Amino acid sequence: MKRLFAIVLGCAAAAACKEGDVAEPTATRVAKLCASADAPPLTRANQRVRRLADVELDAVLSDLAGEPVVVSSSLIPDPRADGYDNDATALVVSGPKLESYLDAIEPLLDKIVAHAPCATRDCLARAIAPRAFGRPITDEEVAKLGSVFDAGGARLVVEAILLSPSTLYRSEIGAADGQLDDFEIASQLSFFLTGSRPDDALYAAATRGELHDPKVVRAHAERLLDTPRARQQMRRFAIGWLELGRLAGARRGIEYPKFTPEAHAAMTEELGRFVEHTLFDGDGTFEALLTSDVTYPDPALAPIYGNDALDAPAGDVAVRVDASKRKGILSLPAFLTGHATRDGTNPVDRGLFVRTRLLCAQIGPPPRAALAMPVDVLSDKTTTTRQKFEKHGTDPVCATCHSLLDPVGFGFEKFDAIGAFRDTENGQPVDDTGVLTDTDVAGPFAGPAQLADKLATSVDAKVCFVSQLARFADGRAEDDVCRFQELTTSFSESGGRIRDLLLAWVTRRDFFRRKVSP
Amino acid sequence: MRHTRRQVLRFGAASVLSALFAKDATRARAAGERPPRLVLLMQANGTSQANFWPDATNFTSRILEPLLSQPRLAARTSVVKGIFNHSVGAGGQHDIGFAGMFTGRGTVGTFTDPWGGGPSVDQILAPSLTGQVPFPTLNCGVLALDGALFKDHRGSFSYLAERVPVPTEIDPVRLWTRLFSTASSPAEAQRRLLQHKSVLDFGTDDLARMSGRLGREEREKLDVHTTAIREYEQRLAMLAARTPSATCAPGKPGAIDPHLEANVPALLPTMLDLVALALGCDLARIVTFPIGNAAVNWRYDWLGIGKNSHDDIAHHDDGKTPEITDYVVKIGRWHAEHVARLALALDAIPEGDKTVLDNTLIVWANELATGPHSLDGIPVVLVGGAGGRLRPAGFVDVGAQTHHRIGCTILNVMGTPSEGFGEESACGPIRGIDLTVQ
Repeated sequence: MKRLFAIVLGCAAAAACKEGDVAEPTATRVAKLCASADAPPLTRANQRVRRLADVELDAVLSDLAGEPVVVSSSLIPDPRADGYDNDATALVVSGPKLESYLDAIEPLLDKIVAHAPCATRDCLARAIAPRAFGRPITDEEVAKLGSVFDAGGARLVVEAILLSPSTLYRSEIGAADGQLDDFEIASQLSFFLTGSRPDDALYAAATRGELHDPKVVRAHAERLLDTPRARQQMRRFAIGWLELGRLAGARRGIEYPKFTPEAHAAMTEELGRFVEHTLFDGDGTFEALLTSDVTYPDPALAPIYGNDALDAPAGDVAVRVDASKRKGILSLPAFLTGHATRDGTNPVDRGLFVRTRLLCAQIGPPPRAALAMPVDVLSDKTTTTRQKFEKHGTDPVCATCHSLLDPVGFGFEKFDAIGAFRDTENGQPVDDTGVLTDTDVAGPFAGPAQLADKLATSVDAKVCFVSQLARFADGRAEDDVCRFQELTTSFSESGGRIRDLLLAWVTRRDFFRRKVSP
Repeated sequence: MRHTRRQVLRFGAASVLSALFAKDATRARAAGERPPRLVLLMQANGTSQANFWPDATNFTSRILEPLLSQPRLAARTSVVKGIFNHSVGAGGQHDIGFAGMFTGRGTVGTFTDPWGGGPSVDQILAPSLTGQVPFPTLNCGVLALDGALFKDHRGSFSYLAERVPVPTEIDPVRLWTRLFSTASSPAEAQRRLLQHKSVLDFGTDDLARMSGRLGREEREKLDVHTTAIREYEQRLAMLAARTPSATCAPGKPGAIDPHLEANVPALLPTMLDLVALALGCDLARIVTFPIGNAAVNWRYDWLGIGKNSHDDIAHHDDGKTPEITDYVVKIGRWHAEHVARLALALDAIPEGDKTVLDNTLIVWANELATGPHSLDGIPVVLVGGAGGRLRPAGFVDVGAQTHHRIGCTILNVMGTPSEGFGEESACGPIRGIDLTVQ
């Protein structure tokens, strides 16, 4: 709801929401921009280091401990930037973070020493460091760790390795010309596709110097995409893309008795299963993500699905849903709950999500001096949410912005704040007709299923999906859409197969080099 | 161009300043004086202008009454009217106000993902305090949201650099553990120092190796890490050398869920009491403290309000709806009570012939001026003697002045005279406030 009011206020600025007089479809805008003299310079990422996200550190430590370990829950959390947990700028080692590393890692030291193939002075360092660093250890480092061993034994050597920047960051520095070395390419590939350091086969390929060949990289990528960690990684991408990092903290009042702790937990799990099965076991297309008519809910979600589930929810088993009402990822309770508030639905937030993260429309900032427009107090029990928000459309000032947002969000109104279907609200019938404008799939629709059908055929939506995936892969927000035109074309031509998009990403020329920066 | 605290106190400048500080601190101790402490408190959602500003003759107002009715506090308070924030930036006014107040910079990023545009004043001052006190800065607060933080940029107004907020500690048990547990006992500190020295040295070497191969912006990111290591080691060394005192060993607070809004009435005083002790025991010098996230939507059930304070109250406070304004007043008074609680706690700790409050500057600011998003007339209250470096002014209408002057005032009070702050290179301190050096 906070965002709602940011937008409410934004409405006071005529044209503030549109960049120019007419908001253009994203694909058109990008094509024009990239062909024009104003095309942004192509800016691949700088030579840099990226600190590991906490879940990535979990994966690295689990490999070293030989069993699953979780430190992320006891570390000081990092800010998610733009919904994603791996922003290269936001992830730093601040004082509080450093201390939480020290505290969280200490209990693991014995376990990791025990799991090491040897625990003697130099042997230990040579066994553990390459796995943690994703590169060979230098003789100088072995010598330094030897002194650490002399001072405090095996545990201390492990602690020094784990807290070393070579463990905590992934290097994308490369040579003086910005060309990454084999081990950097290996880590970049494995962190992108599996959220961890290279496995043995990839590490060996780096040792043999094979990874400057895109064909070899592609073969490893194909192999890694068949591992369980690749599935986890795409779950993680979906959480970032859908801005659902916040879902874990969602709360609902007593007016939502179906929102039990079990149902809450099951939502995230269902989203994960949906993403996994759709991408890895099914069509694997963007269209399927949006329009699939099966999902994988736990029994705890049965009360929320009600009659919409045509089979009994039974966990990791495909359940058909009533495709006249629900289709794909935008109909999942996880999405619908994550884009609502504790008190009710939020058409503005849902509309803004579709606009900015599915269509990559540019929404301008609200004016500084804007004042709030009076809207009905949301606790009014005689009107529907839509009726309360429709004031935006009748006020010409508000309508400038809200005509882009609310009519899209209204289309979700038959799904309440926990993703359950409703025909009435406060005794009034619910109207879920919506309209998309300023995009290649402009036109009316009713309900998220029809919206999904539209988006599945949209070039704008594919352009946008490529840039979201790039955001996740690159860990930065720079708007370099022109670099993605080629990817978008091949993505569309492949029928929107996401696996092909991932493979195209890791074989681009820019995957192998960084911009030299002063 | 990115702005970081290292850029502000770059290289030589930082060490020169820190040397000056050390000298200053030595002199101050010799004279029986104590270094100034700083607390930055941020309230969300603006205030009721008609009920906030004091009556000039009686120096009280409906909202400020809980603070100003305490004679010892009123005598050391300045209520500053006229501050505006006209910075341009990403996001909405909540974001510009929240992240901009103490960075003095417009936000960066996009409408839905706006971040602070540079280091905040606490982090600018931090390097000069390293080595003087175990925790030069602390960023803690109450962010009990009864839900996930809508966007992470709304949970911290303390920034290390552009787009890099300092994480906010919200759990009183964890804050206590950091400050007062056995982890801070001299023996444990000594043990950790010995153990971690070689570990951290190995890391520092590695950082230097990486840094040498990177461009300037990337080096700055690693500088944050290097600084964290150095500060941690210096802290352990200081804690190892400290004589423990009973006053500075408070009992562990009871475990309490820091995410539940219903716990706010317990969380806020607990956290503020820990803050007061941290300052009184000279464990920390600067504290930044969000009282709720930007645009907080607490329902204030404990005040009998039961409505969303952002959506249903702040936004509707047009000054013509007494029922709504009464809620805003109640919320404002509740904040004033807690500011008073902190100030009184500091005033209860003697320091020489004065109290810690005499050597502290509390800045109670607000992300907005009014609920409907105005940034003109942001309520700013200064409490405390600031080590004699700022003369309490009572109610003072300073006329329209930019918020950059607050940062500039703070820098001057804290002993790093500056003509500008953030994006304003020559604004000077607040006009109408008497900065004195005793």
